[in-house]
This record gives sequence, structure tokens and C-alpha cells, in this order.
Amino acid sequence: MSSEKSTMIIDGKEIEFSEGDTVLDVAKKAGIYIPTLCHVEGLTPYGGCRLCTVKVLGDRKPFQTACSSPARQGMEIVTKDDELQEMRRELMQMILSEHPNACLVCAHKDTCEKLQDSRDKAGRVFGCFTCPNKEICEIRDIVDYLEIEEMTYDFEYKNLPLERNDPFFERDYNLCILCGKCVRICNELRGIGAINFMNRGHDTTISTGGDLPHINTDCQFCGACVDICPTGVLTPKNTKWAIRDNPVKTSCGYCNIGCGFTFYSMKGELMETVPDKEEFNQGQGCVLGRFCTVEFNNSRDRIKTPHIKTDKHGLVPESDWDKILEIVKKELKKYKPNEIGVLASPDLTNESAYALKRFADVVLKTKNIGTITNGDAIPCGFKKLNTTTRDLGKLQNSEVLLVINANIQDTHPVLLIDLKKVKDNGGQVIALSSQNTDLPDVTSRWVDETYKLSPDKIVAKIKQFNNTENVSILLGQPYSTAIVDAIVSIGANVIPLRSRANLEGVYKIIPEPETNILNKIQNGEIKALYTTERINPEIAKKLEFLLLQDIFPSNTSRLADVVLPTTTFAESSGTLTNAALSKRKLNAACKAPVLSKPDWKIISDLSTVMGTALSYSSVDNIAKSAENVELKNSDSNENIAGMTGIDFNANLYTYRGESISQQVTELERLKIYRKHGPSALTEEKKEEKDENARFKVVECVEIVPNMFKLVVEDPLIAKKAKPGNFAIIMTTEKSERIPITISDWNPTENTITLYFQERGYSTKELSQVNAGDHLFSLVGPLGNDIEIKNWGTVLLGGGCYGQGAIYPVAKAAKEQGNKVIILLEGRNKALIYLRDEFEKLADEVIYVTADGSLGFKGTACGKAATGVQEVLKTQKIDWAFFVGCKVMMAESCEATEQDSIPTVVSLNTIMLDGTGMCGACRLSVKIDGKTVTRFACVDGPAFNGHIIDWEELINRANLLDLQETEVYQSHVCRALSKHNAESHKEEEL
Amino acid sequence: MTEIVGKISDVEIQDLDEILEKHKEGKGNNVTLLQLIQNHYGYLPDYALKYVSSKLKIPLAELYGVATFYAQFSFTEKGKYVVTCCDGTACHVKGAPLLIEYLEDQLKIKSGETTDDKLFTLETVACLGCCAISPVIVINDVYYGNLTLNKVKKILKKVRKKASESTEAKE
Ligand code: SF4
Ligand code: SF4
Ligand code: SF4
Ligand code: FES
Ligand code: FES
Repeated sequence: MSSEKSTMIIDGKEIEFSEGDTVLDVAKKAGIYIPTLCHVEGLTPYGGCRLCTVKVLGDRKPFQTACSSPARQGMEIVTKDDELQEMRRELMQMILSEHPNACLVCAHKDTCEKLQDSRDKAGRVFGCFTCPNKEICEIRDIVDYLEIEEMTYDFEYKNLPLERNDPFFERDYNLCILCGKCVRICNELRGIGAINFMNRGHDTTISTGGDLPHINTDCQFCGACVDICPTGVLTPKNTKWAIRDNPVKTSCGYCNIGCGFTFYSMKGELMETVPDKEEFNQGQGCVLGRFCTVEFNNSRDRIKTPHIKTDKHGLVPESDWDKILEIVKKELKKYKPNEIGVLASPDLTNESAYALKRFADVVLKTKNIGTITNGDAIPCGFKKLNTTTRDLGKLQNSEVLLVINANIQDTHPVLLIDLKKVKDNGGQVIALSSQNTDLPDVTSRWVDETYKLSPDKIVAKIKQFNNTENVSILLGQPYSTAIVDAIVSIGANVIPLRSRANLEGVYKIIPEPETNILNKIQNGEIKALYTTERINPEIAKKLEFLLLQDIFPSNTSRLADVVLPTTTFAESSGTLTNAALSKRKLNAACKAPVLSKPDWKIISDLSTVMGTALSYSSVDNIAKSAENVELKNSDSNENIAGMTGIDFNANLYTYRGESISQQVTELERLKIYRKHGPSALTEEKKEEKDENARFKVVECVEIVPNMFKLVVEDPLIAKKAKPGNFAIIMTTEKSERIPITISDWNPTENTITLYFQERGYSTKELSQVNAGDHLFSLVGPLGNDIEIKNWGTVLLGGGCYGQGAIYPVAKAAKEQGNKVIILLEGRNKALIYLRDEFEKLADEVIYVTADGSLGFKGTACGKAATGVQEVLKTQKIDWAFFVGCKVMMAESCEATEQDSIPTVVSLNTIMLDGTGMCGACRLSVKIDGKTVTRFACVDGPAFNGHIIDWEELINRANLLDLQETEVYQSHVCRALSKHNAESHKEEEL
Repeated sequence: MTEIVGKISDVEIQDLDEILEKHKEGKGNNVTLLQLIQNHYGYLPDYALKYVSSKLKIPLAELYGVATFYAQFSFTEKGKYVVTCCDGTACHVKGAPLLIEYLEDQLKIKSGETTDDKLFTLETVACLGCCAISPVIVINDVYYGNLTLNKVKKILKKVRKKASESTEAKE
């Protein structure tokens, strides 16, 4: 092949390219945008969506898909002209005919997004503004690029059930555009194949084999599909509403691969963690890094303040660090250097480990320092393994990949990708095991040969590959010195799998396992211990003084004399040494609890108090000084005769001694499931039902997407309810209170009917009750009645949940002999409900939809106003009443104000607890030119719509959004009774 | 997976292994594999798909993907006699809905279902391609055309008789 670079012409520019590039690659490199929808970088071109169609000048077939056409010397292409844009528009419109599209082409898109509650946290998405994917949506970008302003095809809502019972992520296939990216990434890249296309033609869907929930399939919950989906179909459960702000590039600190991640935060709180496409892991991670970090990091259980033990009260919180460090100093000074021990957590950063080592050497002058290994095989052949090739990138090109005593699917699942790649590249995967366990199904899919061998035979087997060119080894545990020697002798590339993220780095600084120190504590030689991770409480009891630096309380922290709160990997900066011995960078991505400090900082501060200041000012400062100081270490013996190693299964998923699944309930669920099968989980669910419980649910059904009809037994309310009243519901004793308008009541059957919209955590919870369940509480009727007179002609407008809320008023107005005109508005005809009832009851029913699928067409936000104006054109209205979202009510009021029509609105959408206590439903109204404050729950919920300060009301609602987002993150914790009982845990610690 | 495979009887494992053995040459062609399974069972039992998925290391979703793509595959056990009623345009105007209603009534099942005794499965399809003799039903590959309610009654009687004879013969 000639060394000359080939060139081609894109949009008139001459561009160089290399062999194997596609037209899309070349354009990308040159910074020329070509829209794509089904293309996934690194996977085989698919050519499914055809959006990337470009024109190849002078070719017999001028229209070719850029993602799958190889670049050719001298090729000349055009990426954008009228004809291409028109073609793409047509394609996109077809794709969007099965995707909610009203918001995409709405003329008021920009204002709407500013005004509307930042996001309704609905279960079903019916337009961009309720879509959790909104900010990262590729469809929106493409619609903008193509300048699509109108939809030519009718939108058809598929109305498929939501899939939300799996751990970690939810699925709403009503938004699926069948681009197939999820299927391809799961099959082609991750090699799992949990999902695929099902059925054909119009009925095509994405699903698992036999439509099983993901937990019953091979799905590893890696999240690759979630992050590749261009739409809002696949969304992480706990962080779907998280706002992706303040991106910080950092690394995951759970295992010793250390995938590159971007962490997002808001107001200092960690919001979302997404694998980084630009790092070596190329946008891939595993269930831990992707789905467990936020919940673990933000757990309420965290140790937030320092604690000291007092004679009278045991451990008590103490916020004065100076005072605490003085106490620590006084205590430590009581002991001789050899009576003090120091232990390093394998989750410390290299910098903190270095500081700790210096602290022991220089300040405490003790030789008793060790790394907590929990029996990890790291001491065995540590130095030898440090001199071999260690390269994660080389794995996939191995001719032979040996997997020795490693169950990577459970311990380092992200490496499964490499197993598959080895196979794709024509290599061989051979599993060697000295254990009697089988590899899990998905792993064995990529394994050519499996051998169960004695340790000696393993050594022999490794040596067989002496003459093989590219041998890589995934070294699990246990292993022996002989195995290490064999690996070194054949010059293989080796990736040792460690039990913890930075064991490799910490052990390099402190190459001594904890065993000696623990023994010395047992026999009384060591009396005081400074440890950065919990130790066995039985051993801790032997100590006179225990100083513990940790992030979560434990049985050991309860025994400690001083507990110092420190930071997690998301809150720290520094480096971690991964399996390939490369230093993975940590950058603090969120705020740590106010009174906590990074490990190195605590160490440095303590050294100052102790009189031998290490004076570290930053992580970089430590790294610098580490370059100049040679650490003193006695040579530890790394020759270990037998097989040694940690039992990975028993130590799976821990960070700083805390089991991750202890904090992340969904992970626990997955663990139990994988171990004991489906039956283990169903038992858990059985709850006892109280026979005498009140508030029996007669019916709870989704009548239109996101809108639920709830019928509950309550004789009292059924007798007393009046139009305009509302009731407050608590689904369980831990739920928030939800105020809902009472839409109908039946005194003979003792039932009341309420319509509510799923738009957040509390309403999601309520939507999941079943007939026969009992609500925890139901209070009502509340709020002032709306007085209904005979006015003449009345106009009643309802949007979303308001459609149900105007029903009782309509009924009463009709009884009073009014002419009743009903206005129902929604984004699409599928969102209009109670149609039959209203048609029967009212003199006239007018419909307005954003997309014109029923009745008048109004811009999505202004549709109510459009409708009102239409009515006012032909009718004289004497009284008007509106219930809907704030924007809808504001606009409708504006329309009636011009004709001075008395207008009443019902504001219970803004209430939180409905008792006037929380102040959430505060609003300003103008009375006689003066602004006065009112509370929707006690003064309303009905108000004169023309005196309300709408602007203030709309803006204030956005503030509540952050809180609600937080509730989602921690919702699993809240559901657990233990967490509820332990809000005072700090004190008990 | 082990749990599911554990539920299969040894006999069935033997059967499936035989199928896999037969399939060896056609390896890689999931359609022929599925056909072999369907020929053996008359439909595609979930456990059988799970078993071959784990045996051949093919993701289960891939097998289901293929199986749901082709109309020839069925996931529910079918009756001994599959009664297919045409409800294409021609048959429809010539009274197919009446026939279907009658059959549903007689067999006490809805279209798409199978009787409890696993004797009949009732299906409706759009146009069987023999509109000339509409309305048409097919019972296990035998076509019956120009039907009237009376004729259907007789056919059903005949099939039932045949069925009971063959069960008696077995005993
Ligand atoms: S989470 Fe991972 S394994 Fe599961 S379906 Fe998505 S890509 Fe496949
Ligand atoms: S779920 Fe998402 S990634 Fe998968 S096909 Fe549908 S739109 Fe594409
Ligand atoms: S593979 Fe390891 S480093 Fe990567 S996301 Fe998972 S736990 Fe984190
Ligand atoms: S991106 Fe090229 S066809 Fe979809
Ligand atoms: S513009 Fe999309 S909902 Fe208002």
C-alpha cells in the first residue's frame, strides 16, 4: 500500500483520510456534521435509519449512507442541500409518527421550557417536556438541524405497558424509534444479548427472550443500552430526573479497573455518573459505577461529623476538629511508637496512602503500618507482577487469553467485553480453575476450553504457551508464587483482579499486609490503632485506643474512641492505581459532608497538631513531595508456597469496608436473585394486611397515559363532598401527602372518585396501589366549596388532571340550569378522558389538542387560550372556571380578563401538605391594589383567576424540582423501615 | 438458567439433545433449529428454547427474535386439530364471522385459544388464497370450502368422531 494519504472532497473541502474510514468518520474528523440516528461508533455500520444519507457526485447510485460507505480516493460528496434535507425530513417524520412529537415542533417550545415546571416526573412520556431524556435527546437535535416545523403524519401512541419492575432502569417502549442501538450494543459490544428485536413489521418491539423482566435474563445491568438510547425509552430509575450539571471527569473507585466517568452534580450534590466515551473504557462501565454510585455516595447513613467517646454518653458528635485532634494527640502521646499501629484502607488514594505512610514513619515513628488486604493475594509475587506487562488495551488482541480462577462476570464484569473481543478477533479464551466452581453462563459463552486443574497442572498449562505470541492473563484468585513465576516466564500480559480499587497502589506504598498488626493487637503488643478502615470488632475490643477514619458507621465505629468522617472517591481528588498499573485520576465531583475531610488532609492536620508538621497543602503537593522522598520499607517476603487469595464471593462489592449493597437496595435485590433465584424475592413482598383497615381501594386504573382513576371507599367523604373540595391522600405511612380534587362521590356506595396524574415520586407510589389495597390515610373533604349559581352560560376548562377536576363543577352547574360549555385540552387526543361523561352532561364540548388530533389545534402551551378565544368568538360567557397546569390557567385567565368574565381557578396542583403548614402553596393575590399572601390549601383551592400573580407562582414551582429529584435518588432508602427509624443514627453511632 | 434447565425431565433433555445432534450440520441457522423443535413439540416450549440457548451459547433473546419474526412459529401448545377460519374479505362477506362465532360457541373457546382437552385450536387468518370457494376453513391441512353452518356442524361432528376413535384405539 502506498504511504501517500488518500483524500476525498466533502462539501467542497479536500480532506485526508486513512484506509478503512467511512465517509462518516472522515466528515466527523473534519468537523462536518452529518445527522445519524442508528450509528454507534465502534460497532459494525448498520445503515438502518438512512438519516446519514449523503450525495456521492458522479456515482451511479448517488444517495449513500455515510455511516456504511467506505471513503474512496477522489470521492466527492455533498452532506447538505435542499434535496437531501427534504429526504431526511421525510424520513424523520416517518420515524416520529410513532414517537410523541407535539413538543418537537411546537412554536412555543422555547417559552414553554422556560415556564413549565422544570419537569413533570411522569411515568409515561407524552412530549419532550415530561421526558427525562430531554437534555440529552438526539431526536431534538436532529429536528432542529432539519428545521422540521410541522408533522405530516398522525402520531399513533402505542400504549405499551411501562416496564418498571426491574432494578436500576425503567423502560417505556412507547418512545422507541427502533433504531436498534440498544440491541446492537448489548449483543455486539457487551456480548450479552439480553435484548433483541421481537416480531416484525408494524408490531416490531425490543424485548428480552419471552418478554421476561431483565432480572430473569442474562442482563448484567451494565447500563450500556441506557446510555446509547437516543430517546427516553431507557432511563435509570434513581437518577432519571437528575439534572446533568457541572460535569467533572473522574474515575470510578469501586474496582481495580477504574473506568473513566463523568460525574454530574447540582448544588454540590452528586446527581449522575456516566461512563466516559473518551477514556480507555470507551463509554462502558458496570452496574456498580453506573447505577450504584449516587445512591451509595449520597446515603443518609454517612458519618457526617466527628465523634468522640465520652464516659457518660458513649460516642457523641463533636464538630470542633481542633478540639478532636488535640484529644487524639493526647491519647496517641500516651503510647510508645511500637505500641501504636496504623492501617491503610485499600480504597485510599495513592496520595492519602503516602501521607499515611509518612505519618507513621515521621510523626508516630512506628514500624507497625500495614495495608488492609482482607487476605487478597496481593503480597504473593507482588514485585514480579509489577515488572511484567500490564496492559488492558492489549487484552482484546490476545491470541490466547487465559482466565485463571477468575469469575469476572461477578467481580469485574466490564472485562467480559474483552473476552468477546478476543473471540471476535480470532483469539482463543481458555479458563483454568483450581476450584470446583463453574463459570456463569454468559462468561462460558466466550470460553473455548475450560480446565479444572490442580495448582501444579495450572503452572504446566501456562508454560505450554511459552511460544505463543500474544498471551494475556486475567489472574483471579487464589494463585501461588509458582503461578506468578510461570506467567512471568512466558512474558504474558497480565491483569491481576484485586478485591479493591486501589489495593495495587496502596500496597506499593505500604507493602505489608495487616496480619502482623492484627496479631500484635491480639497479643497486646499494640495498644493504640489509627485505622482508615474498619477492622474486625472482636479484635478492636482488645485496643486501648481506637482512632477510626471512615465513611459509614459499623460495629467497629461503635467501639471506637474517636471517629473521623472522611470522603468517598466521588468527593476526593488524587489517583488510584488500576490493574494495568496506570494511575487513574480522581477529581472531586461533589461536595462532601461539611464536617468531613479527605484522608490526606486529616493526616496532615493531625501531624501539625502532633508537632511534626507534614504540611501538605494539596494532592498535587503530596505527589510532588513523594517524588523526592524514598519510602523506607523492609523487604516483605513475597514467596508464598501454596495457593493464596481472597474469597471474592464473600467480599463482593465493598467500598471502604462497607458493602455497597447495604446502601443500594437494588443491588442487594440483584445479588439475592442471582444467588437464590426468583423465588427468594417474591417472598419478601408478602405483607400482612390489616383486616379492619379503612380507605379500601375499589379501583385504580390508568385511563389515559399517566392519568389514573382512583375509586376509594370512604362513607364520610362520600356524604359530605361538594364541588371544589379536595382530599389528601397518604399512600403509606411514609408517603408524602397528595392533595387531589374530589371529582365524584356516591353516597349510596360510599365511594369517592379522584383523578390524578403521575408526576412525581408520591404520585408514582399512589399509581401502584391495587384494588383491595388500603391507603394509609385519606382526609377530606377539604377546601372551600365553590358556590354554583345560575349564571347563564358557563365555560369550564380542564387540562390534564383538570379534566377530572371540573367534572363536579360541571355537574352542579348543570343542575342549577346553566348552559354548560366544556373545554378539554391535551397534547394529543389520547390524553383526553371522561369524554363520554362530558358529552352526556354538557351542552357543548370543545376539544383543543396541541397536534390537532382532536378538535382545534393550539400550540402546545397556548392551547387552552386558543380554545377559550374560539369560544369567546361565538358565545357570550357569564362565568368561567379552569383547572389545569399553571401555564394553562394563567393563559386562560388572561383570555377571559379581556372580556371581564368572572373567572375562578382551582389551585390544588401547587399544594404540598394541604394544611397551611408547609407554605409550599403560598401565592400572592392583588386585592384593592394591595398584594396579599394567600395559601391555596386553606384560603382556596378556588381563587379569582384575575387577581393572582401568575408569574411569581410559575417561577416558584421550579424551586421544588431539586427536592423532588433528590427524593428519587434516595427513594429506596426511604422505603426501608430501617432507614426511617435511624434518622438519629449519628447520635447512636 | 440452571434453575430452568433443572426443571426439564431427563427424557426431554434426551429429546432436545437429539434435536441438537440433528441440527449439527445446519449450525448457525436458527430457523432450521427452531423448525426442528417445533416439529417435535408442535410449538416452541419456553423451556426448550432456554435449554438450547444455554447449550448452544446463543442468547435467548436472539432465538426469540427469530421465532417471533416468522409467523410459522407458535409459542403455545396447539390442539390436535387446528381449525383455521378464513376471515379475508371474500369469506367475510360470505358470512365467515357467523362461522367463527358458531365454532367459538361449539368449542367453547375464543379464536386463538386451545380447548382444555387439547383437541382443538381455533385460529382466524386473513385470506387463505382460495376465495373462489369462500367461505373456507382448514382443519390440519384439509380445506373445506363453500361452507354453510350446517356443513360446519357436520364436519365438526366427523372430526370429533375420528378423534374419539383414535383415542379408543390407543387404549
Ligand atoms: S444493561 Fe447491559 S446487559 Fe442489560 S440489556 Fe442493557 S446493555 Fe444489555
Ligand atoms: S430502546 Fe432506544 S436504543 Fe433501543 S431501539 Fe428503541 S430508541 Fe433505539
Ligand atoms: S468495572 Fe470497575 S471501575 Fe468500571 S464501572 Fe465497574 S466497578 Fe467501576
Ligand atoms: S446513521 Fe447511517 S443509516 Fe442510521
Ligand atoms: S411547547 Fe412543548 S409543551 Fe409547551
